[in-house]
Amino acid sequence: MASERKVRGKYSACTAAVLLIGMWAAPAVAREEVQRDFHKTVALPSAHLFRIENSNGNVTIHTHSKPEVEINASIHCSADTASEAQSFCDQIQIVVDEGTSLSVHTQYPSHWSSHSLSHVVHYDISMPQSSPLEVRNHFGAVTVTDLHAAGIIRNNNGHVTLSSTRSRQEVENSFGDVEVRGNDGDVTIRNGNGGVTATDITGALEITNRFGQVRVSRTGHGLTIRSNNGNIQVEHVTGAAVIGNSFGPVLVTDGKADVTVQNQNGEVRATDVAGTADLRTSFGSINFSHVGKALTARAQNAAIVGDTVGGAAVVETTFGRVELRDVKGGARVTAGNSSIRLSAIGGEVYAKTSFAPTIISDAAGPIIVESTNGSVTVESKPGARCQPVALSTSFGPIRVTVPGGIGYNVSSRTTFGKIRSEPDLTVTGSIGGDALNGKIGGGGCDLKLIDQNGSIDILKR
Amino acid sequence: MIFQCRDLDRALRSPELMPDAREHAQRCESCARQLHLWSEISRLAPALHEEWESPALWPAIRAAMAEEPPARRRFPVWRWALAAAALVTFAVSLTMPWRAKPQAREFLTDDALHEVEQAESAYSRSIDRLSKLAAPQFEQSHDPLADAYREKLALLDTAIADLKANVENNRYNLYLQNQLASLYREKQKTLQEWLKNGK
Repeated sequence: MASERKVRGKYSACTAAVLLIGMWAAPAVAREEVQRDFHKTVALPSAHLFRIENSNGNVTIHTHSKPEVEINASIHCSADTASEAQSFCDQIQIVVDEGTSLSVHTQYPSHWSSHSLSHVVHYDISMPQSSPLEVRNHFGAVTVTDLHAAGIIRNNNGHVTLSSTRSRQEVENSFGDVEVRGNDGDVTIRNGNGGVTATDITGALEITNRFGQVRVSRTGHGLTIRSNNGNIQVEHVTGAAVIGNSFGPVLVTDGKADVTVQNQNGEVRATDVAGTADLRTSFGSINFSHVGKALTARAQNAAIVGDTVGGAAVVETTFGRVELRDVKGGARVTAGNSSIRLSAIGGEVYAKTSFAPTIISDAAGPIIVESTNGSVTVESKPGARCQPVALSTSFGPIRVTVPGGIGYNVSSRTTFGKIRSEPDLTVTGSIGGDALNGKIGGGGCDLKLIDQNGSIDILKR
Repeated sequence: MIFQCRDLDRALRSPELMPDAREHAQRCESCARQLHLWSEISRLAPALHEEWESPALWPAIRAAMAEEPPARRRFPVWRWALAAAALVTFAVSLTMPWRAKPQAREFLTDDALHEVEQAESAYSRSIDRLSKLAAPQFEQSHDPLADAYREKLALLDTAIADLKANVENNRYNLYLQNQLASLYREKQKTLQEWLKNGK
């Protein structure tokens, strides 16, 4: 049974700007406003669909355990005269279609000519908790609370807020923020020109966004974010996270599984990733810390800096420095026009760069450095057994420190520069010329040092 | 307390009297109007706050201070502090006590609409100027950044056109006018960003 209550409001107001420039007591031009309220309660068996379509107003949905929908709408109209406002409000209809599903929509007059008429229609609806929901709204906010069935919300030019919901939720919006706080199930969000916030999602979370920031916290299963031109902040993700972005930074903290980030023109920062980390970007730095398994970091025109990797690390960049510390596995670093600084690497090291120095310390495994136009400095890790070392460069010195008490088969060569050895070297072959070959400590691992236009120094640790 | 109209000024300075003032205003049209005006000021005043860069200001102050002999200080620091505290107290008293329940407003008044339309024209002019400035770079650039800005501006233009069509039939709708203003602001900001960062 529908009931209507008419409330007539009449007031005038000044804008603050007018007030502040001295028109304190000046009477504003009055307009008339009318509000018409609509109430109707309709039966809707559990699990039957409820659909609502509105524009120019907010839609607020609550739920209850009763098998019925309580529809409350407030229709606000503004006009030059009260009768015009009232007449206009009377023409705006709330249409309720009952069937296997229940559908509600706002019907505006097909045509109105006066430029002085304005309207707003807000809905406040209580519906069965376990009925699926479809909302379409334009130019207003949508709020849904405590829905325990699937929901589809399509909105534009307004905020969308979901809280304490269950089941699969799908939200599409533009020019407004989307906020989902607490959903027991999967969530899909597509937004444009608005921010997205999603927290406490137990299911898989998929977000597509453009020109707005994305914030995700505490998700239970997989996370997929496809974004452009926005900042992305992710923390406490239990499942695998796959994130794509451009023209904005990506920050990931506390990923319990694998993390994959593909960014462009933006920074990438990953901290406390329990699984593997695959981080890529261009024109933005990559920073990482505490990656549990293998790391892959690929950048262009950007620095890559990080520490504490539980597996092997593969790093590639150009025109940016590489600094890598505390890697349990091996490290393979390929760079161009970039300095490389590696320390405490547990496995094999391969480093290649140009036009910048390479500095390696405390590497436990074999070391290969291929440099051009850059100095090479290597300090081998003291240990019980030797590891092969092969260093080559051009137009820069090579300086290698070997641990005492370990033997090497030395083969060194430089065209314009001196070759010096601090540890005793038993020379084999001829002395003089470009090359110096011999053995340190009776020989052992290969120590190959090849340079052009640079001195070679073998130092003792 | 039996609240009377003459107590209103005191209530505006004393937050603890505001509940009585509001209750009284429900029965007194004159006081209700006063309260409404004050709440409008406190609601809208922050939006009128402006800042501008004055790189020469501090060096000038510093130079003036350096030149000024200490003996000439006639206004002790504590007085400045007191004045500042009074100002802060006044500002807080203006904005805090009755911000809790602003009247939900759905529509603009004629005056407000007039101002909104003026502001819209000003935005349009500013955007036109910025568009003209940005155009040469935009036309020449094949940079991915330019593509991103072009895409965003195209989206904004579509949204503005859509919203303007809606506003045409609902001019006094405050929400729509706010949305339109925010789209204009966004477009202006986007063009400014492009002029600053574009290649």
